Formats: sequence, structure tokens, C-alpha cells
Amino acid sequence: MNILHKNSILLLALCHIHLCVIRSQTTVKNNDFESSSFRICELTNHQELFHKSIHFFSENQIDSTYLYTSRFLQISKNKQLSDYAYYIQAASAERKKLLDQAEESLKQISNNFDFKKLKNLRLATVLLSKKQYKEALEYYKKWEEDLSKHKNEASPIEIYHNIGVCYLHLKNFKKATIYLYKERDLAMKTNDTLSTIYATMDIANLYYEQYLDDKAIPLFVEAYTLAKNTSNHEIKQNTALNMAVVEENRKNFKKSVAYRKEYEKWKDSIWNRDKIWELAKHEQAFAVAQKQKEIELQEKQIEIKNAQQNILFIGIVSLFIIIAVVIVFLRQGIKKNRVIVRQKNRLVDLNETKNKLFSIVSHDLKTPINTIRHNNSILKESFENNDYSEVKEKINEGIQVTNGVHLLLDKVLNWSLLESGQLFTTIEPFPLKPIVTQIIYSYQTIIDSKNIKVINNALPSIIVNSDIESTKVVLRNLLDNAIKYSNKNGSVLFETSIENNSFCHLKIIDNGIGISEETLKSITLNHHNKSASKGFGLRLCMSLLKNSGGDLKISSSKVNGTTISVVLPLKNNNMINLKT
Amino acid sequence: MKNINVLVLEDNPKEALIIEKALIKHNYDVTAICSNINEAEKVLQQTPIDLCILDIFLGNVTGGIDLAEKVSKSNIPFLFLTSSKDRTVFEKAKLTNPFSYLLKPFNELELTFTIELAIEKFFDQFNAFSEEKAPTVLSTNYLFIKNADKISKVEINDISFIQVENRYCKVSYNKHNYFVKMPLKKIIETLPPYFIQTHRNCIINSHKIKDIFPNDNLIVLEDGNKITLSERYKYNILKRLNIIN
Repeated sequence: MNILHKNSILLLALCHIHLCVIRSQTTVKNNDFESSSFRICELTNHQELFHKSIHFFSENQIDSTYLYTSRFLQISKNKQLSDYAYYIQAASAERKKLLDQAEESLKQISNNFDFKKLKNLRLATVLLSKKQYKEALEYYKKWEEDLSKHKNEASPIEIYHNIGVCYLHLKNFKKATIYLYKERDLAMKTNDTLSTIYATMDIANLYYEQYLDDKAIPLFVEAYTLAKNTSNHEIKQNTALNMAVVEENRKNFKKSVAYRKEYEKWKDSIWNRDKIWELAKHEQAFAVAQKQKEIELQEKQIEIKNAQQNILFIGIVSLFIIIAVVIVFLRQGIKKNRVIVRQKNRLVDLNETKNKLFSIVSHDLKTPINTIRHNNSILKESFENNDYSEVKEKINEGIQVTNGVHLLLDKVLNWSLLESGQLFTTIEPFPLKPIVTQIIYSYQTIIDSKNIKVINNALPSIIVNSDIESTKVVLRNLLDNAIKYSNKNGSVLFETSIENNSFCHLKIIDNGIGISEETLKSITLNHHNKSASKGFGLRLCMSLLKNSGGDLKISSSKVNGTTISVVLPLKNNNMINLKT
Repeated sequence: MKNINVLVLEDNPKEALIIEKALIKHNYDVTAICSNINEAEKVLQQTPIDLCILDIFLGNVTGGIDLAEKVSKSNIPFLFLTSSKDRTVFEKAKLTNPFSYLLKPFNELELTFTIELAIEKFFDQFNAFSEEKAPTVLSTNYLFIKNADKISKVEINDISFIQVENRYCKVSYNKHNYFVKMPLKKIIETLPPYFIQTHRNCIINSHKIKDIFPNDNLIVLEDGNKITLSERYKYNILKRLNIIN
């Protein structure tokens, strides 16, 4: 498979070589070359460099061909292959106009070369190119001998032309004339008008050189008339010029001018053609340049657009960042503000507390202390005067006043502890009645002095779940109020009732002067009053009760006195157990 | 019937005096008034004490709380006195369990009420002194009896027998009867082992037995009371008393 494939490629390559030879060396028919190449291909399967050389030669890659042939020739031992390689190398060199190199390569080819004829022809062409006419002529003669021997059908117009040129240069006009006529005959035979015209002109020129005007002029005319029928401008121009020169020499200026005009016309048309071609090319180049410019412009515009987009993008991003930063700062500011407002409110509260404390201390504390001080001096006097009824009265008053002061201090202390969250409470069950009894007991002196009837009707079975000390403070305050606002010989009643089986309502009922609606409002709405201690006790009671799960309810009228309900949570299921 | 022996830990002599007066007025025996812990500990070692009243602050130190932990271990009820309602102090005091306290200043009713509360709490018999028919608290060593707002104690080994009567248990002592509102089963658990059950409804003090008549199912106590011996408990009793083997 592989071999077959390679062979087919080589065959193709050699066909090309054959064509090349024909192209460069006129129409020498060479079936032999073809077949022998085919044969050689089969023989040289494994000559990598040779194959490459042929391949590149067929591809018209002259430099590569030359390189590979040189490399192949350095290592080659096969004469036959070397001859082929030399031939290819020479052809490559010739095409590169390295004439000396080409001559050398051709001369390296051995006499046994299958295509000696071909070699000789090429050598002759090379020598001709090198203007070594005699040597060239020798090789041409050899070829002519071969031609006569073999009666070859080949019609080598160019070879005859070349031989003719050689003789022309060697001033052998006779021989030159013969070969040029041969060329012309051959051209006419093959209906090659162009070659015929050129050959005719060559001969005419030859005669003209020898001043054989009579022979030359008809030929010029013939060439001219032939050229008229062709479409080749150059040849028309050349023939016209020739005619112009000929007519000028014959002093036939009119005709000469006519021919010259024709010559100018063809020249112009050629020039025009070229010019148009050039102009078109220019225009094309201009259009291309214009297009290029447009493209550049568009690219620039795109660049500008991109830059604008980039700037826009960066702008948007930075705007977002700025907004985010502003939001963060604003939020922090709001947070700070909130904290500040909270702190401010707290400070306002604390300030009010402080003010209240001062007013209590300055007013509510100062009055009783003054009373005691005053009482003490009266006491001393009465004692000295043995006025015991006065002494007893003053002592009772003293007890009353100190009780009040104590209660006030107790209130302030509880209130400050409650406000600062430092008040200790333990919610636990305790019987309510003994507590009421204990509170009444501590007011016994005052109760007696005012002749007030205090009745404890609380049910002994009631057990509440609250803080004992808070309850005591509340009861102390409420009893103090009840006594304070009771008239002499009045009464205070403690009464209990159960609500919803879960709360105890301890009512403290007095028939005193009652609380005005305004005061009641200020207590329940927790308004800060100008008179500091008014309602302070009740507010404290409410706070304390709420702090330990209870509540305070007030109802009062000017007629019936005041009823205050202390709401306390009952011990769980306590009542049910005790009722049974 | 004996008065209750109280130890007062109070470094302020004036307040100590007020407390002492109030206690004496209500039939308590003030065994000792101590102004520091060392003194109090000495007394506790030498004298039988039934109740401790402890001032939380001795000077600036919370000595009362320290002593309370020891007292509690000796099975003696106690209560705190303090003039401060400050949370920080109370949080520490509350760690002693059970926890009863009284704020200064106080009147004598508040004091006696808190003492009762402390005893009830300590022996886990809440509100027992408020029982109309049976204002008593039973501990392993004493039966505390409240009578006319005064508390006294009866030594357990002086009790001759306990008998269920309606919703209460009747405690017979020296021909007096007191009532305890406690299930008999729980009383058996509380009392020392020389109290033995003779009947579904009855416990007797084995030290107070005068005669046993197993055939008649009868026990005669030193105070002359005759107790029925049920068949169900007979064998156990005879065995416990080493009458049979």
C-alpha cells in the first residue's frame, strides 16, 4: 500500500518535470524520459532525500529543491540517481539565474545519462545565456545531428531561434538566415502567428542589418500586415515602429509619420491600458487605504466608546461605593443617635429622680426633724414643770413623727433600690393575715392617739405568693395614708376577697377625706407632680407590687373615703386545699 | 414542756438588747448573745441550741452567713437579720437553704412570726403553726408546739404514744394531748427507731412500755394508757423487744 502510494506521488512529480522541460526547452517530446522516470521511481523507493528533491522541484520550490539535491548529492553513490539529481539541481540553478552553477551541475552529469539530449539542450541554453555562443552552438549542432539521425518529429521553434541568434552574434549571417527561416517555416507550419511575426521580424532585421533593404522591407510589411490581424498591442506597436523607421530611411516621411502615429497610438493604448491598470490599482490602493482609514476610525471610535464605557462603569461602581459608605456612616450615626437619645432620656429620668430626692429630703424630712427638735425642748420644759400630760402628748407626737420619717426613709430606700434594679425580692408563699397584723401592730401608738378603729378581717387561710418585704412596705404605706387621711374616731378596715381563684384582693377601706380626682390621675398616670411626695408612696406601692407579680387599684370619693385594693397572686391551688 | 433555746449573733449591743427583750417576752430562752463567730461556735459546741438568730453583717463582714452554713449542718433552724435590702448581700445569703430573713427595724410580732416561719421552713412543714387545731412542728428531737402565740418544745423521748385521730395525729405526752397535721407514715419516718408501730393507727415509744400482754393483744404504758396490739404488728414488736427470738 505504502509503496504504491509513494509511487503515484513520484509519477505525478516526474510528469511535472517533463512539463517543465518542455516549457523551458520548447516542444521536445520525451516519452522516454517519462517511462525511465517511472522506472527510476520504482528503484529509488527508499531514497528519502531524492524523493524530497523531486517533490519540491515539482512544487516549484526552487530553494528547497536545490538544498535537498545538494544534500542528496553529497551522500549519493548511485550514478543514475545522481545524474537525475544534477539535472534537477541545474534546472533550479538556471531558474535562479545562477548560470555558472547550472553549467557546473550539467557538466557533472555522466555520459550514460538517459536524457543526454535534454542535458545538452539545457547546457546550450545556459551557455547562450552566458553569451558563450560558440560553445552553445556546439551543443546545438550535436542536438541537430541527433535530430537528423532519429528523424524526430519535434518542432523546436525556440531552438532554431536560439541557433539563429548564436550565428547572428557570431556575424555568420548566412547561417543565421537559414535557421531563422527554419524557425519561420516551423511557426507558419504550426499556425503560430505570433512566432511567425517574430521570426519574420527577426529575418527582416537580419536583412536590414546587412543593408539588404529590398529583402527586408517586404518582410517588415508582411510582419506589419500579420500583426494587424492579431490582438497583441506590443507586436502591433513594434511592427508599426519598424515600418516607421523603414519609411523614414526611404525618406517617405508622410508614411513614416503615419506609421509613427500608429506606433504612438498603440503605445498610448498600451500605456493607457497600463495606465488604466495602474490607475485601477491606485484607486484600489486608495480605496483600500480609505477603507483602512475608516477601519482605523471605527477602531478609534470603538476605543473611545470602550473608554467611555469603562469610565461610566468605574463611575457607577464608585458611586455605589460612595452610597454604601454614606449609608454605613448614616446608619452608624443613627445608631449613635439612638443610643444618645436613650442615654439622654435616662439622664432626664435620673435628673428628675435626683430633684425629687432633694425636694423630699429638703421638705418632707426637714419638717418632721424640726418638729422633733421643737418637741424635745417643750418636753424638757414640761418635764421640769412636772406637766406629765404634756410630756405624754409630746412623746406620742414624737413617736408619730419618727414613724413618719422612718417610713419616708424606707420609701426612698426601696424606691432607689427598685429604680437601680438592686432591690432584692424572693417570691415565696406566706400567710397574709399575720403580716397585716404585724403592720397594724407597729402603728398601734398612732392609731390609739387618733382613736381610730383598725379591723383586720383578712381570712387566716389565705396564702399569697409574693415577696414578704415588698408587701410589708406597701401595707405600711397604705395604712399610714389611711390613718393620715382619716378623721379622729375614724375606722380602717382590712378585708380580703379571692378573684378568679388565683388572686387575692386585700382591700384597705377608710372613711377619711378621700383622694381628689386630680391627685388620683397624677398617681395612676405616673405624672411627676410639683409637690414631690404627694402620691410618691402610692406610686412606689404600685411599682413594688408589679415587681412581685401583683397590682394596686384605687377607688376614692369625697363622701365614702378611699378604698385601695392590693392585688397579690395566690399560692397555687392553695385555696382548694384549705377549703376542704 | 420546755422553752426554746435561742442563740443570737449580733454585734450591736443595743439591738441585741431589743431582740433579747422581745424574745423573753415571748417565752424564748436567750441562751447566749454573741458578737462574733468564734464565741458563737463555742456556745454551739457546749450548749444545746434550738434556734439561731444571725445578723448578716458583723462589722463589714458577712459573718452571719458563714455561721449559718455550720448551723444548718447541725440541724438547727436559723434566720437572718439585716438592715440592708441590697441585692448583692442577699444573693449570697440566699445560698443557705432554707432561707428566712427579717429586715431591721422590726417589731416583736414580726420577729416571732419570722422565727415560726424559719422553723416551719427548716423542717419542711410550711404554715404548720397556723393550723388552728394542730399548731405544731415535728422534728427528730422535738415537737414544737405553738400555744397562745408562744412556742415551746417537747422532747421526743418524753412522748409515750401517737395515735391517728380524724385528720390529725394525737401526740400523748404527760397526760397532755397535742395534735400534729402529718400522716402517720411520715411521722414514723421522722421519729427515732425506738418508736414502734403497734397498730395501723398507733405508734408507741418502746421506752415507755410498762407491760405487754401478747395473749390479750394489749400494751400498758408507764402513764397507764392501754394500747391495742394488732396481730399484724405483734410478731414484729415481740421480736424487736427481744421477748421472742
